[in-house]
Amino acid sequence: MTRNTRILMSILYWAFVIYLFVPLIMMVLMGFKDSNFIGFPIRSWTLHWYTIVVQDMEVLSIFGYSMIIALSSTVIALMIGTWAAILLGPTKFRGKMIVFALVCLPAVIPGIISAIALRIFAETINLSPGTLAIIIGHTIHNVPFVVLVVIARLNTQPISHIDAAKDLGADNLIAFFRVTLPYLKPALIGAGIFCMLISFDDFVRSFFLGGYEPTLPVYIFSQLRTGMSPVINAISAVALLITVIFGLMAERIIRQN
Amino acid sequence: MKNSSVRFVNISKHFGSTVALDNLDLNVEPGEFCTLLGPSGCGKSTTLRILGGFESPTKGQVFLDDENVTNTPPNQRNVNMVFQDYALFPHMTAGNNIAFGLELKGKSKTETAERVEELLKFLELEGFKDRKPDELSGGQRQRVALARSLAPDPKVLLLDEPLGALDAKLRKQVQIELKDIQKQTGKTFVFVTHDQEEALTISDRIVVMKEGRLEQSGTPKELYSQPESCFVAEFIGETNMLSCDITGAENQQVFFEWHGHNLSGKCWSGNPEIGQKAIVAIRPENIDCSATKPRGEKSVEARVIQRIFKGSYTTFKLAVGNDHIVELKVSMDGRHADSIVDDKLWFTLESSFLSVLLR
Repeated sequence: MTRNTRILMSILYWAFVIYLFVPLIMMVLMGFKDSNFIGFPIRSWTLHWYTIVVQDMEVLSIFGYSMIIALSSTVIALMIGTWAAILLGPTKFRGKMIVFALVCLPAVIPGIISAIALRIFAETINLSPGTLAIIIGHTIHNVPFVVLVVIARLNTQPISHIDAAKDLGADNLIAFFRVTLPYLKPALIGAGIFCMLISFDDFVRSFFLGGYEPTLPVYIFSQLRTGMSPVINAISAVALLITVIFGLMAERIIRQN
Repeated sequence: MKNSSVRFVNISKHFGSTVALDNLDLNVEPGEFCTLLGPSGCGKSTTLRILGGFESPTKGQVFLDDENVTNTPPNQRNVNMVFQDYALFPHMTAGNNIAFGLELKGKSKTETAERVEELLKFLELEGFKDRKPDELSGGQRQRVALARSLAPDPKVLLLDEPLGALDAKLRKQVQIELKDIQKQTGKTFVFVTHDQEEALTISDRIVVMKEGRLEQSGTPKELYSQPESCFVAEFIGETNMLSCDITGAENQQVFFEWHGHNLSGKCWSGNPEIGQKAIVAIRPENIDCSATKPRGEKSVEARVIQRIFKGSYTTFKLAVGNDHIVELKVSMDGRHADSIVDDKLWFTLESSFLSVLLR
């Protein structure tokens, strides 16, 4: 690569980075603007919008609600996903690739389609829209990510580890809990945080499957319809902060192992 | 057949259409350091895995101390294995790795801790108890793996090429250590290697395997000086292989003709017949050479075509005959080699060093 192309390519890259981040920076900045109207110039700064958010019990409970859904769907997805990954890992059986494809399918189906399908399904089985429906929807969407991450980790585990555990007196169950599970720990933490983020961020599924109680993205959307307010910027900034913290944690844990 | 530590009766193992073991019979005596030796794919590791319970034989029976364990899973067998990659649990400290088998055996906390300390001391691993496997050197990991397998006090210890990952110098040192440990513990060791030198150094008895069958078994010395087949003669140590025609046989003593010379040697296995073609093996260090033609002996004249100084000994490559040149490898100690200055020498093939091989 010549010097000039390198300079050109880095300029293009930084242009892309700016394009990515300007909206985010704008959003955060406007949350600190001492005015009801969003837009430049910013004449004075305030924490007023944040104090409204922090004092608004409704917003806080929505944060909590989204967290509970994210946590539950993540925990269930981790259990199902690990189980599927072990099934799809070393053992060979007829139709293994078909099962693998089915397990991964929810990750590639467009959100709107799977949301509609889940809504129809929920109604057929008389499951009323609400928390349980959302958790099921998020779990289904999360499982493929868990499976992929756990299989990747599982494939790096030498078979001799399991042999050694059995050799020393462990049955399959003990070998799994004392040797395989600790080995999978970084993958499980990474996949778990990733699932939390997906769930926390999900709009379409929550919107279609939700009842009266909105998740955070659904709430923000409903607020937008009645007009922009800097309160939304503040809420979004808090959500962004949580997301970034989770993302960094996941990155660190994965890198450590 | 009483009192064997390990007994394989007619074991066959098939993986799909490939035959890994073919009617293998094997006996390992208690307290013996027994090495399974052979090239890769000879079935030595499969044998060990069947013994550990990780594979079940397609046919045949496995006995441990005269108890049929053919269908006993590995966690219920009183044998432990040192794996080729050590298979230490990466999330546990050295101490916890060693304690793993003891805990699963239901030993009390104090009992486990005592045994772990004892083994750490025995294998000179004091101070490494709280280290994770990735904080240990290759040699230390190997010793932790050994300690972990010795901890539950198995009847037989299985070792699957445990020195393969060590560098050459450390490997030599660990071979001796391993031999000492086996002597001190008095346990039966079944060791797998493809390295013949290692097998000679370490074993009480070597079982040479080839294509899923037992080729020959015996003490290192027996295998070296009394090979029964070309495979064993070539696989263990350096050797010269000479084609000959058998002219007579009397029990084990076989008379044969080699390039116009009438010689005799021992045949350790099989029934030699007059007129049969055979291979005669002789070790390079057992060919007697002299610079001048010895009197009254059946000596053969040869030309030196290569001479390599190796420190404590010198190797020669000799050519015999004019039409059909036969090459011979000879090694001599330094003083003897110095006496040979010309390109010409005479050598004799002493009948006690000649092994006649029929297969």
